[in-house]
Amino acid sequence: MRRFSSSRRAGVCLALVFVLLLPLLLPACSAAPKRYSTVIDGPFDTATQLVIYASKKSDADAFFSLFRERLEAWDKLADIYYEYDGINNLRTLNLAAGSSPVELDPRLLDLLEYGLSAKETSGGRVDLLLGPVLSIWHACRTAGLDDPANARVPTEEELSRAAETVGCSTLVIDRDDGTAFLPEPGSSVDVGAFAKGYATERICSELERLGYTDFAANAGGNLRVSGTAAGEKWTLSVRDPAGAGTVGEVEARGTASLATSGSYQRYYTVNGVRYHHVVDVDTNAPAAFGWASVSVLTEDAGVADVLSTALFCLDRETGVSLLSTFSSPVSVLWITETGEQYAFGAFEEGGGK
Amino acid sequence: MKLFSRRESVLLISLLLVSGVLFLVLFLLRGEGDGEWDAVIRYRGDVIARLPLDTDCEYPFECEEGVNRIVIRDGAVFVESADCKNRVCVRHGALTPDAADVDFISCAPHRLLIVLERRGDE
Repeated sequence: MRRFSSSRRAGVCLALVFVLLLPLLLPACSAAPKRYSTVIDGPFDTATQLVIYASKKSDADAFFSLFRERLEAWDKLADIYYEYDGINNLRTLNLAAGSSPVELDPRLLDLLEYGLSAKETSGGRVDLLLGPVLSIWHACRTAGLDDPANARVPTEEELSRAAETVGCSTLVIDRDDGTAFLPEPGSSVDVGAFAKGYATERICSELERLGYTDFAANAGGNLRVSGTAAGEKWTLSVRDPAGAGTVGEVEARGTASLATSGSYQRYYTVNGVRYHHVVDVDTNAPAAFGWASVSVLTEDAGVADVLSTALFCLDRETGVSLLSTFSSPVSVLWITETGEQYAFGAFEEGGGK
Repeated sequence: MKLFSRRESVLLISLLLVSGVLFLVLFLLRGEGDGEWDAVIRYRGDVIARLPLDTDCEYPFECEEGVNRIVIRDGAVFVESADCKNRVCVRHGALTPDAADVDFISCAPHRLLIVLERRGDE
């Protein structure tokens, strides 16, 4: 009986020791991305949930704090109701209407230019300068919610006076001076139809450029996703405007956004009649095309936001012809007040990209 | 022709077994951590409760703004009733765990938020 040489034995022992140490390597294997989530409460009058798949908690935390910082900055810049120390925002611009140009953060000039172009993209259904009309409805809605017994609808007279101001309104943007100016006294901008989507898109694309991927943001029902959910497609679902739960969903990987305009989220009631917050530029009253909600799925969160408002203020046929002017794919789910659904694009196929 | 003596072989085989068992235990523990979800209740931004989704319960939430009756049933969380102005929280329906979804229940009048988080991921 002959034993193997001691050097051979040593080699086999080394290999065995390596096998024995394998369990210690497990934590390194578990560097597979984990799901981290947080909620930012407040900006844009809503809550924003963030989810990111990251290998390290510190990466997720860095992502969350960048997102929060950017979102809070955008919220202050786009605010039309409050002013903040040390910054000029849209309220500053509106208060200076008819008197002087206002120096604004370049990001805000971008937002205003986007607002001007949204008139074209939306087929004239989204008007940046509709401020005077929208502020009357906002005042009546806020008062009506606080004191339902004395809720009232704006009078024809005050609405038509406001509409006259809107008709004369212009916005002058001077990039060299970094200013914007509303020459018409009493005119004002309102970015409610797209600011949240535009800001979300800007923040998400910046974070993607910084190398972050595999994340999703839900800004009060407006979704923007990037990459995958640990290799799986993200689920983007549409809520049932009439009751609880969801009515439609699509799956997507890569960059995708879902925005919904609905009559069921913000409204008030006068003598049993509901008045929602999406105002038709033609009638200066809540849009009445029979939609309970219109959801738009496309790559860009700003476009999704503008288009969901625009389609809410159009009949379906006109809406579909507006969609044909877009080069990037757009999918739509219309839901009527009586619960019928009409699908276009990915919602139709029930699939996704 | 033998590589190891009998005693050495026994020692090595048992060490291998221990190593394998350890590996399996660690692996299973990791898997378990991935599977469990909590409903995280936030009021004014602060976490006030973390309720395991696998245990049915009723959580009557009360704050100075009002009351929301939060229920966990069959692995889902929902607001059963509330005395807020708009009932958006009740009409939202149930949240069920889905790692590829981003959804939460919000009651803006009561500054209440309900989100699902995987245990250990917070």
